[in-house]
Amino acid sequence: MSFLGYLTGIAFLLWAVVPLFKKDSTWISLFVEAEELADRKRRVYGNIADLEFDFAMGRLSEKDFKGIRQSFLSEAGRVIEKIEGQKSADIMNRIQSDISNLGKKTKHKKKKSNSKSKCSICGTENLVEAKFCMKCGKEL
Amino acid sequence: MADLGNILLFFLFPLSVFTALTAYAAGVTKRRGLLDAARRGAYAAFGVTTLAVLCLEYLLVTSDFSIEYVASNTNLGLPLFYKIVALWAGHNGSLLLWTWIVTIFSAIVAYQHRHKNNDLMPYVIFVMATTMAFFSVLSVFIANPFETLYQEVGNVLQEFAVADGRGLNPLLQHPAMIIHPPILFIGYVGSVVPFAFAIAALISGKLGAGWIHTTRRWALTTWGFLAVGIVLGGKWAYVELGWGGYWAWDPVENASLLPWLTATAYLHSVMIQERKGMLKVWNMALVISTYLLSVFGTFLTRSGVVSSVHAFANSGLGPAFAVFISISTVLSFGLLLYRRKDLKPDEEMESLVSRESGFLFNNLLFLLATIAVLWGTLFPVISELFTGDQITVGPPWFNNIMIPIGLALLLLTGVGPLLAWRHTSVETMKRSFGIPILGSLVLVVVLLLAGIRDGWALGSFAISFFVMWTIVVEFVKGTLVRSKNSGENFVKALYMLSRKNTRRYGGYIIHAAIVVMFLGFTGNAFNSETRAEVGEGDSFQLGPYTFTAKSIVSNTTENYSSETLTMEMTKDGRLIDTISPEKRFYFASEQPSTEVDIYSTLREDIYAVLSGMSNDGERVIVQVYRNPFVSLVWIGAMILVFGTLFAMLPNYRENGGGL
Amino acid sequence: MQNNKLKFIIGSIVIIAAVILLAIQGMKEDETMSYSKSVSEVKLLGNRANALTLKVNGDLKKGSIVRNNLDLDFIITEGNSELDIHYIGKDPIPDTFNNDMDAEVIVSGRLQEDGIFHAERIQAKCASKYEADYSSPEIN
Repeated sequence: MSFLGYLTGIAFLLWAVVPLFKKDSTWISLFVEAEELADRKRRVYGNIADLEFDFAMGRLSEKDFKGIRQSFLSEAGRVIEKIEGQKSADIMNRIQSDISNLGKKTKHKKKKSNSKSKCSICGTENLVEAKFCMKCGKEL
Repeated sequence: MADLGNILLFFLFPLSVFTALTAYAAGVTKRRGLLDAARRGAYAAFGVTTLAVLCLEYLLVTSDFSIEYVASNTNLGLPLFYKIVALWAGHNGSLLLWTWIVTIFSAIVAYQHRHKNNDLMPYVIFVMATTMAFFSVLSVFIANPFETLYQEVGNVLQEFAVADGRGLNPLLQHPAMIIHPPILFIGYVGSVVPFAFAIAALISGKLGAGWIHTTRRWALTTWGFLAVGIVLGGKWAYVELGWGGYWAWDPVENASLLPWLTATAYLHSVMIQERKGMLKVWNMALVISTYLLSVFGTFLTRSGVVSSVHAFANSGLGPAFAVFISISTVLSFGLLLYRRKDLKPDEEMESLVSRESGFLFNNLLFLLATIAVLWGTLFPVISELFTGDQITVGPPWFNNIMIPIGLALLLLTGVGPLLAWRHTSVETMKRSFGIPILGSLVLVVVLLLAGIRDGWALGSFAISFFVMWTIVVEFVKGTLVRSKNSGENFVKALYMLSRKNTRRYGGYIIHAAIVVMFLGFTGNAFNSETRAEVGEGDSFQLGPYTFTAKSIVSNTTENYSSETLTMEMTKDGRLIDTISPEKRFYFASEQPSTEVDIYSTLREDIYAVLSGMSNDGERVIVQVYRNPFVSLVWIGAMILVFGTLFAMLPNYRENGGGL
Repeated sequence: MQNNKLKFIIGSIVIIAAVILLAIQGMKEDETMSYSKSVSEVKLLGNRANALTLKVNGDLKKGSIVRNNLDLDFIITEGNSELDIHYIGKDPIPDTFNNDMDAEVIVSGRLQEDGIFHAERIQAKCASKYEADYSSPEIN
């Protein structure tokens, strides 16, 4: 019986050690800055959704609502400009449509079949679920 | 089989050390091979531990009485089901269960993230494997469940087996006690996952919100299991221990409450970080504290530091735990201190009357509650250190401090969700709070007229009413707004509304559950009891009820002998129910056991205990308690489970419609 | 901004002070504070013992339990010291508490002038039965 125990234990150990001897590669870390920007974008969108909910539930006056909403929108604009690294003329329209699409099914979800997608900046192939390019860190 | 189990369990130690080392190295070098090896190490650790647990189960089921653990916790006559669950009836076995759950969670986390979070995962696995290594040392070298029985023959130690074991403690032969330990353990051990991610974020410097999103479900699950574990413990004490209550501020009960308090604080304060990027250091500290308090709870139960009725006998694990907790505390908080500059808040607090400030005060109160419970629990140790006298603080001290804190928190439960983020104007406050406050005041007047004079109880009823009102209004208002926009009928709109933001509405359901439980707690203010020595035909009175002893019967079964008193309970001459408390004496364990009988309604429990025989053996002493609202505690707990499950559902996404 | 911070700090201080006050007030009440002593330590305390709420632990003296209607008297020992206990509590006494058992008992209450300890609460520990030491020779 104890022989069986040693055999099983050692088998498990060996199985775990094997990857150490395989051909190795390293992964590249995501840019901290890119993640931070994505955090900020998520946060400001979440804030706008909450604000609209609070207003609909009658928790704040129309004046407060408009003022706070405006400041969120301009923050969203700043964040997105930073993410894209360039000024964009229609940025406010895009944010508006983003917001009205919050909580809705996104159409392109169905296209999961091809598992790679190319980064628009540097051309590196990434997993389609990836939020950032693994080489240059740009949001996909 | 014992050898096999022992050797398999032994392999957990080198495996967890291997996993920890390769995981750390993977984090530093970012080499995929190392990370793969660490991941396999986690799976392998789970593999050997599972096999070892199966070996122990085999020994328990086949009643191998050469094993001390089997002999101490089971006997031949024990039903199969109890033989199986005896895995966690004793000290060494339950420690193995703890260790096993750690390996299960490590394997799950390693598998869930096999294709993602490469920057965090090495350190996550490292932290979990370190915990695993510590528990494997305890399980293998200090409290090994595969230990065989020895006796001295001449000068030689010899293995031997006893003919029959000592049986399972009768107190543990109860459904609530059977599921209570694993559920509580899952809650305790679950806290290691958010902790591991937090530490991984600190080590790797990836301090964004990533680790918080990743561990949201884990944190909620852990919290839910802790809550259910605590309530089940109370339920078990209530039906099994026979003193008429469910909570006594016993050190072991407190130990389970402590991590729950910090976990609750975290679930709230994390929302400020998500919305405003504030309190980053504080959230880290809460996650770390929850984990440390979970380990501390295990330590308190097993070390004999504080004496408790529930505690395992002093087991020699104390020093090992003390060292582990100290090192973990110093390292985690040291790391947090080291990274504090990277955890600066993004925004400032804007107004005292806002959602975030509500959360802030909620956290302050939870923190104070944690400190108070910790202080009271450890007071015997603290006082002995400074005065030489071991002084125990009793339940009144805890109640004196925890009832006000509890009610303040309950009040915030009602106020907080009605405040808008950032700033709430006075006008909208008046609109939101006017009617519920008025309603509560009316209720207080009615209750005063009904003759209720207990201040805390009046406060609790008023606040409960207020909170319940605000929760219902939240649901109704949201539904009406939605149904106006989408044209759905009320029920459909209600369902869609809550499914679209499960965390918010699951949270409200949990709040409602807490209100129901608080009503149950408040019932304690109106408890009454009586004690009587009765013979057949005697009767006595408690409140509006008359109890008449009909028969006192002795009985002997294979397992135990018993005395049963059968009483008729009448009110205004009408028969309500027959109540028959019982006293048993188990032969195998030579243990007496009290079987209480409870007549339970929503309004009150009538709880009867047979406390003993009179000297002549003709009459019995019976104790009857009248406990209002106790059922609400258990009902509230069930609502809480529902709310927690609901909050874990993914948000429903739809093709159109706004709110 | 400064004004806001101040409000928070004041609010927090008020809450913290209130809780500390409750804690101290609770500590002052004798009833909630009990001194853990063994039987021989109680004897050493002398007159001081009468003023304190005590939690005394000792071994139940076999055969010393006397019941009389609802009254209960017994003796706990530690080495050669003995303490007479009179139970005045309301809760049912624990299961492990009877004349045949070796039980370690913790009684909470006050020592009276006549040297009899009036116990309000009895806890019996019966750890000896479970987690027992099988290696002791008496088992075989």
